[in-house]
Amino acid sequence: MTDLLKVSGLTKRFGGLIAVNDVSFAVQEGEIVSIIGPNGAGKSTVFKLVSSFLKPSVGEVRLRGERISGLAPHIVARQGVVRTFQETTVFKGMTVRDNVIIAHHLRARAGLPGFYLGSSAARRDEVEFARSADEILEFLGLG
Amino acid sequence: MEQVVANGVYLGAQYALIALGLTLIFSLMNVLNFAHGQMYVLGGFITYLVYGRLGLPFVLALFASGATLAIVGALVEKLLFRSVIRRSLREESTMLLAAAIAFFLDAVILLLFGEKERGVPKIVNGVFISDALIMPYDRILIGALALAFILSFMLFMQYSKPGRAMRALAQDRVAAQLMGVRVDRYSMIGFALGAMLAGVVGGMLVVITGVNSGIGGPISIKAFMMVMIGGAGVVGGAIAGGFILGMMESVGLSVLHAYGDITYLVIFTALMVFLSLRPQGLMGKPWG
Amino acid sequence: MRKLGAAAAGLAVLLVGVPWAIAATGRDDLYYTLTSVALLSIASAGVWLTFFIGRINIGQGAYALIGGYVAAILVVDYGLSFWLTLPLAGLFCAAASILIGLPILRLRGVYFAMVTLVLTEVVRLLALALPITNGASGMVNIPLPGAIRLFGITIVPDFAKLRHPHLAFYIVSVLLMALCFGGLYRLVHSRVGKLCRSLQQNEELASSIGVDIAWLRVLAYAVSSFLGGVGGAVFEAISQSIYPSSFTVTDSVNFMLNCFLGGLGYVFGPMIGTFVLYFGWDLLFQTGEYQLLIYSTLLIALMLFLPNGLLSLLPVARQSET
Repeated sequence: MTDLLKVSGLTKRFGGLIAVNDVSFAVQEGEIVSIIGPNGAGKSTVFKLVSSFLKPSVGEVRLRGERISGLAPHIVARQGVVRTFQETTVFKGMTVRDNVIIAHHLRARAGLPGFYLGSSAARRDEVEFARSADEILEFLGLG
Repeated sequence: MEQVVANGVYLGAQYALIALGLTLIFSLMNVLNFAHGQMYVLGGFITYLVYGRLGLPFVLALFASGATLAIVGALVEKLLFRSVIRRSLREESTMLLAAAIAFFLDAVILLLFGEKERGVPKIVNGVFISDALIMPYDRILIGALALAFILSFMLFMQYSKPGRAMRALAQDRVAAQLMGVRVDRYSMIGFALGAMLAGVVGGMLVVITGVNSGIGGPISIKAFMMVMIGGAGVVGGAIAGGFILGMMESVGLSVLHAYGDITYLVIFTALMVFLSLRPQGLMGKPWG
Repeated sequence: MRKLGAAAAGLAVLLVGVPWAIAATGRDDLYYTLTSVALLSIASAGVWLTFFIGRINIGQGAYALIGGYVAAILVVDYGLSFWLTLPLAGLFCAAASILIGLPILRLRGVYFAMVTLVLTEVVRLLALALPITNGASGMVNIPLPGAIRLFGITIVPDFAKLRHPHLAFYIVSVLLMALCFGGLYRLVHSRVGKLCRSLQQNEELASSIGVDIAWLRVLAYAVSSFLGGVGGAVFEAISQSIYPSSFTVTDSVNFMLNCFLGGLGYVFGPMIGTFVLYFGWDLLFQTGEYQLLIYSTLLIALMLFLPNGLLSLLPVARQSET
């Protein structure tokens, strides 16, 4: 059975500095894996590499057997490998509710033109996202 | 061949000084001084007044140009930029302010000095002639003066207290403040210094090529380009950018002369391609 | 619904009220001024859109110039009707901007700004150098727009036969401006607008939630340049000429200033900004040699008091946040 996520020989060099050196691990479906290490060990870099925000100097990342390293980050996110940020990162110029709504982006069924013109699929998405966002905020006590 | 190189070096030294002033201001305040070209022109006109019309020594005229622009720069920072930077929601607002100041200086220059091209008597006569190259003595003198200024500037930034303070401020504003660097004072000093450099170059070049009120804008654009080539906010980058542009102009004007006026088209397009591939220029920090 | 009513009322004022007022006061010269404001505000709207995705665009003059030339060449050399060349000019600019934008939109802040500044100059130099654009002499004596006839009914009359082409150009420009800002308004308030805002505020975060930031940026830039091209094309039709110096770096800077002045956070910012700056400059003409001095002093004063643009004077509830 193929691993859900397989990281092989992952290495990242920034000029002369080797931030990540030959890291390999695999994650199975349903597993929770933690990466721990002291400051400066390269943990953030590993996550950036796995979620494709950085391209590896050597090595690759595979999702269900398909290579994802080197693809654009949003494509990788769409496939299910999503990165969260170490420091609290939000869209500062938007309301909390809007932040949560826009985070549903990956679940949109309508495309950009649909959203612009207000197609029925887009309207359904909007209603659904708003409902879901309100649910989440309620659950977190922010409603 | 040597002629082209010599011209390039001479031009490059002048351009480098202009670029240094611009990059200093940018590194300290993250503001691209749209008015830099106008400050250059103002410096040129002041030297024209003091040396050309009043007949006072050239050195005094240069000093007057530098001092006046330093005061202008300090006032602009203290009275205008400081307030706008504090209160605007977006950092691009400073661009509007800088552009407005550029217009203002253009207007003042036009009113005070008129539209005519102005020149001054040569500071030293004669031409250096050898087999390889021909170079008027005044250009050699000005070129040497420019190199001297560049060197003093670098030494100042490296070894003096204000120089260290400004470098610290440019690298990390918060850390510099924690170390006791007075942000307000050194922003003002930095802006004044940047303006002064522009004014001094203007004064130096008026004895070679004259000055007129219309060249402010094109000079600003050239200055931006140099800073972009070399890398914004980096002293070495500004110098490199200045010399590269000087060299490109020198080469372009002699080589492409046959093909008409496409020197700048080639330079600009090459620049755009270069920046697309390497946005931080030669020595700049990766953008962000 | 209220907003639609307000828009209709505004349009009525512009299309009916203003011509009536001009006829009453005999100030025919105002047509050119107002038409210019409308067209320049369309180009400025394009710049505003680039701001909306977080880039500083000082290169719109390039696309206005390209648009003007494309329209002129298509009309003069290929005999196409102006009404066809108008969208074609816009589309050409959009296509060019996609080619240019793909490499440069990765740049941010002043770096992007500087490249766009250079762009205006490059296009001007190209116009001087290429044979098809007729070099420094530009293209002159471009015929006025022709008629549009459908099923034998004249929908738009032949401009050459009109007694008041100024009024006709004014109406066309106002309609285009209304279309432009209407479309922009819809964009900003739709989900697409929210996605653009996410780009503007944090590109990495947007990427992590699945937004294709490269594609969205290029799309916005293409629309931006389309608007620039359309503005340039209509200008060319009005002045019946186009030169390499028709749109310069100064114009690119002015488009940017129009956006700043109106307020970068407001859809109608570029419209207000263009109106104020253009009329302001025109009115100051009376002051002769002090025109630029007073103009720039007022600009500086405005920046000191309202660093966030004119529309920041509006009560908070009516703003569309950035």
